[in-house]
Amino acid sequence: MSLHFTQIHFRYRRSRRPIFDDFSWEVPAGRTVLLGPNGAGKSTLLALGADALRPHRGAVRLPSLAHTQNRRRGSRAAYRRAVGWMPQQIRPVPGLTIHEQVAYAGWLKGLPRSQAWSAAATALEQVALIELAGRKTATLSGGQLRRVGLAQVLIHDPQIILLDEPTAGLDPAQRSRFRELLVALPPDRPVVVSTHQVDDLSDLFDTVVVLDHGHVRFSGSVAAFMDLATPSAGERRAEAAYAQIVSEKN
Amino acid sequence: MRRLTMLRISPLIWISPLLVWPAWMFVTSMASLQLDPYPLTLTAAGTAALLIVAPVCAAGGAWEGGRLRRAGWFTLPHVRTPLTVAITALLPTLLVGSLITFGIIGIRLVIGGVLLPDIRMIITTLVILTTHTLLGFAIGVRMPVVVSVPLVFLVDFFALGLPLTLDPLWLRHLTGIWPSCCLIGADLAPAALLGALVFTGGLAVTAGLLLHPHLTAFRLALALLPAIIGAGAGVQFVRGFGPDPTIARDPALLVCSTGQPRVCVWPEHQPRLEEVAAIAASAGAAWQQAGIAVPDEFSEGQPGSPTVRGFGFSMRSDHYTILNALAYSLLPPWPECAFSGISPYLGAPAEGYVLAWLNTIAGMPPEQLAGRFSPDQLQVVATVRALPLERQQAWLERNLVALEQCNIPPQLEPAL
Repeated sequence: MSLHFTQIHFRYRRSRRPIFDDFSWEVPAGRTVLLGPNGAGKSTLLALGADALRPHRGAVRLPSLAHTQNRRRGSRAAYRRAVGWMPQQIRPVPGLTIHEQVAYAGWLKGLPRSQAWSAAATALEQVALIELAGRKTATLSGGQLRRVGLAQVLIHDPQIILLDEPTAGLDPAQRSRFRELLVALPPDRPVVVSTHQVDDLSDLFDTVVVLDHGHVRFSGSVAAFMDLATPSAGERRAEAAYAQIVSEKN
Repeated sequence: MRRLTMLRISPLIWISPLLVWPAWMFVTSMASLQLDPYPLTLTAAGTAALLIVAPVCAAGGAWEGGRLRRAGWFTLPHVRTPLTVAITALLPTLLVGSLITFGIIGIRLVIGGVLLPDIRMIITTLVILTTHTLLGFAIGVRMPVVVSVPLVFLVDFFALGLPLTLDPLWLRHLTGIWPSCCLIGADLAPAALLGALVFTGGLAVTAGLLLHPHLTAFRLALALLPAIIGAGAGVQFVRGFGPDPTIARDPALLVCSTGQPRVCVWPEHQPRLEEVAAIAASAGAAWQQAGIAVPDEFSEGQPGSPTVRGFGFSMRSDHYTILNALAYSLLPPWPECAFSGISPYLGAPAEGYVLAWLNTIAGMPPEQLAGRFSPDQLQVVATVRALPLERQQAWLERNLVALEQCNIPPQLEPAL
């Protein structure tokens, strides 16, 4: 149960340079951290995986849905429901409470209205927001909104979870809280987290992938990644390993 | 989204009490114009509320579209289709708009003593309301709410109201709102209905296509095509109509009396058929005694033969207004010059004199005559009535000929 990117070609309308050209990658099992400099294509890759963007060539597939993989509406709906994507920006829907917004997200992902309402309560318990369920989302802090975003992903019980910069802009306490939520995510579902933060990698992730200029520069275990650091790096081994990979190729 | 949530956050729910007062003013001001319990007339008059309600709903749609735009949700990879998302978000808006419009129509019908509305008008109203609200939503997801809501309201208000003031007259029929349709003897022309539905349908398809999450310039151009095609086809249907797009009502619906002369009325007038037949019988006997040829039938439908004369009345008409209508039906139809204005209609002044004479013969009391005719006309008629019957008939014949022709002057003074 994984996500396959096969010979992807994608560029933005107003850009001459493609972000991905003949790009292939298979999302590994377990928790994967996607590292890379700004403009490396991390967010684009996750958006392609979520079907928010479409590749000009190539295919993005979930093998578990292989028999239905085509452009027909039904198969697209099944695909979108199977992939949970949390974009960088989580914005409140004006007028809605936390419970209503998460339930609405579930309904948009195809859940029946009543099921979405009850599933929203479960998702809010998972992200520890159930006590604030009646609050308007417009009044929430950045960290709380990210948790709402995660609940919006969890509500439709996706087969794979893609989180785009979930801790960007959060203070250390909020980041720590969000990490706890990541650890508590269902272990049987592949999770991909794009981030610039390389601290605590070994506590959270099984695999490290470094993306740069639309190419996978490194893919391996956290231990293998750390081994790339020079011995003098001390406690900042992850940063050193990352710098080693990115500087090697540029 | 839960229904309760949808109702709680809908702006239309909150502003609906503000619409009740203007709606009530509208109902009461229009009620005085109501003449007959004809479902088409009453329903059509009620649909005039769309001139206000549809722009308000369109603005409400823009607000709902703006809500999803502000949240950045409309372009996310949902499982529900954009149309499903839009229609669901618009349900409270459509509910309020429909309740107000159909409430007004319902009150008009109840005041008019009618139970069922004209179903064609109801369907058209629903199509118009849904289309305008959906268009508002489609614009709302593309523009900031501070721009889209007032813009949609104003554009929609003028788009619906302005054609009513513009030439050519047929242009207004594309909007699908016919507040002055129709007199009891007329039916809405199917071509007008079709034209309005084709035009509005084109707009609805355009609105649906504008909901594409990734709207490129090409898709935008493609989305505008149905509206353009719908407008073109709609114009073909309505071109040539006057202010009211009507056809004659099906004469098979007429209800007739059994006496002589026969009286045929529209089913809505059936409660007064016996009374009208009695007036026709009494007046007919008087006219026959005066040597006037009385037709076999007085009909509210279009007369199809020389022995049938057309007349009309309303449920509010009194005894003598009906008598006057029957007398008027005995006059010859106006000649062509009366409509074209190319040559003068010299016989026109005779109409009032002849009509006063016919009413006098049929027994209309002096106070009723005084309310309908001028002292000059009544003076002349009194002089004519004092003459022997043969001379009265000769006076009548001369003036009927003048009424039928364009260039024959009337001879009103019996001395001539």
